Amino acid sequence: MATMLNLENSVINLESIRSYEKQSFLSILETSYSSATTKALIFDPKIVGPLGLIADAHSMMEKGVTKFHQLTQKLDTDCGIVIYLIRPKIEFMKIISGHIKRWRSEKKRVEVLIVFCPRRTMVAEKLLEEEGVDISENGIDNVRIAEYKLELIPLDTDILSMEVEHQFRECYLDGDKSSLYNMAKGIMTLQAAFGIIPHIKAKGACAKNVVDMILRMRKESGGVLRQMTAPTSSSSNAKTPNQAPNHDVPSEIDTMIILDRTVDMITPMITQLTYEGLVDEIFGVSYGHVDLDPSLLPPQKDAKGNTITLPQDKLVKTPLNSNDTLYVELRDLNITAVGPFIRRKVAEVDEYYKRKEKLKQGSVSMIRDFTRGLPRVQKEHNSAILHTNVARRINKTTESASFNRRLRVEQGLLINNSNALESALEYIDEMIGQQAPIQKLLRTIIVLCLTQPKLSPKILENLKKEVIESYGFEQLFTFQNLEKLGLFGDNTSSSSSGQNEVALTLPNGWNALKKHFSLFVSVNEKEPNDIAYVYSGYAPLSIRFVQRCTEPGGWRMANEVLPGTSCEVDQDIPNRNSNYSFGGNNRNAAASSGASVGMREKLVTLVVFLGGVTMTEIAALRWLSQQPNSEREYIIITTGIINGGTLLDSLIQK
Amino acid sequence: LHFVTTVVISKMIGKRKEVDLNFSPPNDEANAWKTFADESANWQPLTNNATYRRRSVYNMMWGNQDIDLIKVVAIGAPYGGPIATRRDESKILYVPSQESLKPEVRIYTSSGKLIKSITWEKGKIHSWGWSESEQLLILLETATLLVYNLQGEETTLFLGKEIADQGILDCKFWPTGLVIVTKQFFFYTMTGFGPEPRVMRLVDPKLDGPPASWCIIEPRFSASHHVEILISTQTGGMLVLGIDGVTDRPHNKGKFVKMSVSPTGKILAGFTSTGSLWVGPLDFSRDLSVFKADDKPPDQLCWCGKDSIVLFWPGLLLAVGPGGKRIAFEYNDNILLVSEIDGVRIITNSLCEVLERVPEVTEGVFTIGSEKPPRFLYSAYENFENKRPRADELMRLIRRSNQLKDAVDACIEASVHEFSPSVQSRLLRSASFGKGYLDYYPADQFMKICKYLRVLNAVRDCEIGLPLTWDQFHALGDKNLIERLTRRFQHLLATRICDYLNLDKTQVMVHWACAKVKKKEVEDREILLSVVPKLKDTPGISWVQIASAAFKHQRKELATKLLDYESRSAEQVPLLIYMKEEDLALDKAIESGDTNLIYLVLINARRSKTDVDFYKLLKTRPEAANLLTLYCKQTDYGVLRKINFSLGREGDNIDLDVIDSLANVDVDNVIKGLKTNAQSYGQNKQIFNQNTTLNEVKLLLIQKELEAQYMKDDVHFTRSSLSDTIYRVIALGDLNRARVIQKEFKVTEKKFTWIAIRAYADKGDWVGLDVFSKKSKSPIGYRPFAEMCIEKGNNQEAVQYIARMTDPAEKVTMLTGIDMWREAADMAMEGRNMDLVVQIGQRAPRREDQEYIQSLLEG
Repeated sequence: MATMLNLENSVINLESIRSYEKQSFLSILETSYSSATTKALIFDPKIVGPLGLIADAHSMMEKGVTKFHQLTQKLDTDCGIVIYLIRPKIEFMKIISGHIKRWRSEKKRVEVLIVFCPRRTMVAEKLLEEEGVDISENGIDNVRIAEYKLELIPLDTDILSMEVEHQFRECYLDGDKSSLYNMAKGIMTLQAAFGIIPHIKAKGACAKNVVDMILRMRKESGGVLRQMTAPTSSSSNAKTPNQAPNHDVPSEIDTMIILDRTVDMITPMITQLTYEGLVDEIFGVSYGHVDLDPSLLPPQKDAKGNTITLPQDKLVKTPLNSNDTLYVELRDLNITAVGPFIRRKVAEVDEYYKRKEKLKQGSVSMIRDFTRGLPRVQKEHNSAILHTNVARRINKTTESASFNRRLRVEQGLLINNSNALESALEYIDEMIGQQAPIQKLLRTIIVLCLTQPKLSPKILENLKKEVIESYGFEQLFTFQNLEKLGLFGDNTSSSSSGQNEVALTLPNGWNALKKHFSLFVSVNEKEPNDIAYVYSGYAPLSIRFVQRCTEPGGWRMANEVLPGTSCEVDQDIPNRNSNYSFGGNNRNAAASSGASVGMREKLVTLVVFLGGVTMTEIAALRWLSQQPNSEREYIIITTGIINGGTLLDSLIQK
Repeated sequence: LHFVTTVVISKMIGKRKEVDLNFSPPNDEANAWKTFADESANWQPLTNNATYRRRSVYNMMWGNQDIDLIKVVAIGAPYGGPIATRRDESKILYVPSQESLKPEVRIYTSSGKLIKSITWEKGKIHSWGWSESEQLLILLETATLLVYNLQGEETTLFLGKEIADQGILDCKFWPTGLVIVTKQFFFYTMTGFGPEPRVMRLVDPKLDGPPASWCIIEPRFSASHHVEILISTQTGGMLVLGIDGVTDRPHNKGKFVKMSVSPTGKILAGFTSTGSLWVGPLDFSRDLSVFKADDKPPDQLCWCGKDSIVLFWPGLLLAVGPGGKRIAFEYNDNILLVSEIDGVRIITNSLCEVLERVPEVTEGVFTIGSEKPPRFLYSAYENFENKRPRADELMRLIRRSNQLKDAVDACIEASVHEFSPSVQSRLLRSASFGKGYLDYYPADQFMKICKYLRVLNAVRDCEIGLPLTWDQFHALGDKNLIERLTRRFQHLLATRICDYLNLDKTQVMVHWACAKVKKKEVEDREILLSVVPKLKDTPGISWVQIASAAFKHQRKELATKLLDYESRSAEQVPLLIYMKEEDLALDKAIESGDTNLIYLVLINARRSKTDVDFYKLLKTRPEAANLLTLYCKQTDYGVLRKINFSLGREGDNIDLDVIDSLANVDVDNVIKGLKTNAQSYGQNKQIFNQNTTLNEVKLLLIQKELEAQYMKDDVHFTRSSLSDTIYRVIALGDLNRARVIQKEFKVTEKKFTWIAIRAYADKGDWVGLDVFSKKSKSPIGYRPFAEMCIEKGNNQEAVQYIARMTDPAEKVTMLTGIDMWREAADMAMEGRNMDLVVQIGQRAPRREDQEYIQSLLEG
């Protein structure tokens, strides 16, 4: 498989988080067993992706895993030990109990270890019991239960994600706040590794919930945070933090801003325009990988340098992360700047190869320089080929008339120009006529509802009717879901359920916000001077809010303008003036930069998105970090990476 | 300056009441300081390189209770642990009139101080032993095991009918379990003395008669990590019984009548029926020690440290070392031997003694006439104290040998093996004296040892009665020591040691508080007043533990109040559930945000509450109701409906009904169901839903008809949307029928046109599309027609629709988009837009097109 994402360049030592998570997983596999030696690992299909970002198959095989299977009703294995790695979902319990009962009736001795991820739950265990499985220790079924606390997974040097599927629906529609609890746990782990975060700001009911929980958890722990000492000694390399317990870690993180997705529902609904955002919209990015048609890839070579031909019908999993230095520069560009950028890169590579000709007369040091740079250039060359192909595919979409039509409609609604409503309704009609994908349709409808003050009930009812007529009766429930979330309907009245607050509930809410946050700025996409470049002129509200929050006095103003629950907490930092250096100084050297807050150039700021974040929002935050006069370096924490389509997927009645 | 050091050391290691009866009669304190007593006076060499010493540790305090080891059976626990006694039932004894006839089981400290006395009314005791955590284990003939803690609190464990029926022949204990031989010669093991003991029958060793003797190899020493049993059979064979079966271990040593495995688990000591003691490895590969003794087997045989064995016959105690070498001691009374990892404790009627090997380093310091630097240093200090110049001479000698540091080290190390604080301090002062001559000597080790010695001296106090040696203390660990003190109710000492050694003292404090709340006679308020202020500022206190102790003693109110101080919900909630305080439990669970806890409460509340109470509980707690709803959605619609009903979510129930209706396989049932559902929506004032449902019914009826009509085409209509239905009808070529449906549902002409375009194009019916387009003017223009043709790859067909479009600029874009440059130029010409024609000409890629356009411009 591909090499692991390199995390060395993280502002905070994310590698320690990952290696801790890896070690704790491997030590679960290691748990001693009696006689049998062959282990089969059966996993929940949704765990494979995240787990792949933590540990590779090879390291699992070193711990005795010989077979890997996906969880299915039918399972044939000759392994003496079966390890299930699953989320505690009700349907899985039924499948597993089926397996166990079958082995029992066949009198086959199989040792079972059920590893729940991220937590073991009463409900799951109760269901197993109800299905007739003996889960007691040393019970007849040889079942043991463990949990693997996989909380935050590094997706890149500046992104940590829980990678929970359908978290938005679960949390905001169904009211299941488990993910918030796990997020709080994850933040506690971060605080154990990187110190107590002094300043916390939260916007939204769920965000406040998380703040309450982390404050509570800190109190519960009696001030001592869970130490991240990996259970096996083999991991005790210099990068494992906190080898010295009882010493409070200095704060490496200055501020944490927690946002509910519902604070800004408009941004994910409008079409993304950054390179990475479009890759996600068009190809779909999952767990830092994209599945690509082999024709888009650069020629593949095996170890001997022979070209391999890939089967043309099979999509190839391609990693998209900062291991690829060219991609790092490319991903956050507005699509209009992508072409020139790639052309420049290709020219650079060509230039480099041309130097080879001149080398014939060159000095030894020139040759040495050339060969030294070669691997990097070859990598960039390959990357340039890949992204040229991908960009070409994307351009096909972005240059189409329908795409531009869509952008015009969206821009019209956002700016709220005079015929916005009319042209939007016409566009919606057209999409319905063309039976466009329902996600695409609903995105426009939601933007319409959130930006247009006082839509008449007749228009709304008609929209509903039209959609149901074209997409089926069950869409009635989709609309009920959207109404409950405040995403559809008359946005001037308070939302029906009361437990969800979508920020845009003020009359004329959008127009007011637009002005206060100066969401519309004219920018040059190729040489941006504002985050608005990501949407060619519109600054995403969520990120603008973050930006304002970090300005002196900005929080109060921004918070007042944006409606909804909020809180601001300053945590007191444990006093560690004398004791710290005693025996604990290895930690300082281990931290990536080894600098305390005072010495660091930029203040590390965590931005936590509950309900998911889009690639474009990430791009905007990165742009902020990269500004030379920026005082802050942003790290993104999220329940998952989303776009409007994937967000709506879970809300659509099937 | 030196005076200061002296005082400091005494302070550091603490002072203890001297009970050094035998060795150092301190008749004159001043003189005793001048001449150091000969510590090696009563050492006895056992082999060439091993010397043993017997030290008296305590005067037994049980004197006033008239304990006579002749009259009682006694058993002691290792690590200076407690001693249990009971009247020896096998002997006829004279009971003085003032003594109660009722038998008693008494628990003493190693110094003979009574900890607890239990009046015995439980019937005949078969055997007894001590567990690792100092629980007294008493096995009754009825196969019932009684477990007592040091406070005499009892837990009863039944080992099973199987054992009871067979009857117990013999039983032996190991620190975490026991092994029973039944009268039918089956072996049973029991592991753990917790609430759920695991009793297991081992493979039948097929014995013909009772074993001559047997002993246990503890799990931590066995290869299988499970307890193993060595059985010496009546015929002189040796069997090893383990979890995997029986193996024979042949040897020629004869039949053993007493056996014991060494504290390292590697060596066996056995006393044969012919009166010999044999010591050797477990596989009998060689003899480590053979010694012909008495024909009569000893009363007691036990290990003294790792490499010697003590045997006791009345009147005689024999220590046997490697190679059969031995030392004899005379004892006139009965004694109790307690094996320790580094020696043996000898309890007599009046004394507690320790017999142990003299550590090498101690030998080096105390052996008179030894030429070793540590001895010189010790002497030098003695001379220094006495102001003799010899001190300087000796120091020069040591410094010349360059071994001063080693000598200092040795003196420090030797100090830890001493029980007498004065000897300890003498050694430490010698070390300190030597240190003064060194340029640099790190103080850490010295300080650390002083610290630990102070702790050890404190717990060795006869009031506490824990005669722990240095090695035992280290094997036990400081946390275990604290536990032992706590169990003896020495809370104050325990917390002080915790503070002193920087250990976690919360468990001690919780234990103390638990003891407090058990006091029935004290009022709740008073208990709270005494407990809360002492504990509330210590983080990490488990209030749950204290509260559950209160609850167990029928003080629910006190328990609830105590629980309020608990900040860890994961601990708090389960106890609240146990106390049947579900409402409070649910609130605390919700407060914590831990959904798992909320589920825990719900699962339990559902079991214990009536329906009415249960739903009432949910009504005010939407977080919990949401979770339960989610759970029921996947498991139990019945409960889900009840929840919705009780929470006033009638609409949600109708939604459920609709989903149920749609799930019907038979369309007629779907229609029937939906009709009822529409009515329900109406009653619930959900007018839009009502209308939509009625429309769906109408659609289904039409779809049913269509299906009947197009049966031969095998087209399915049901469960598709209205648009889909129209699409399919048009695709089947029945435009008129489609028009009828359009009217029925008031589908707009625009939408209808869109559907028609797709229907024709998807089928590739270009003629049909053409006909359709010409029937009436398109309300959406002709661009969608053209675009659809292009999408389907039929550019030629697209041209005619482009021609019918209105905007010339759009037309041109469309044409150039499909590579039709000449047509585009023609179109531009029609609009008389010459600039555009020029532009097209410039962009056209093919030469012939360029030429054509040129000709147009010129023409």
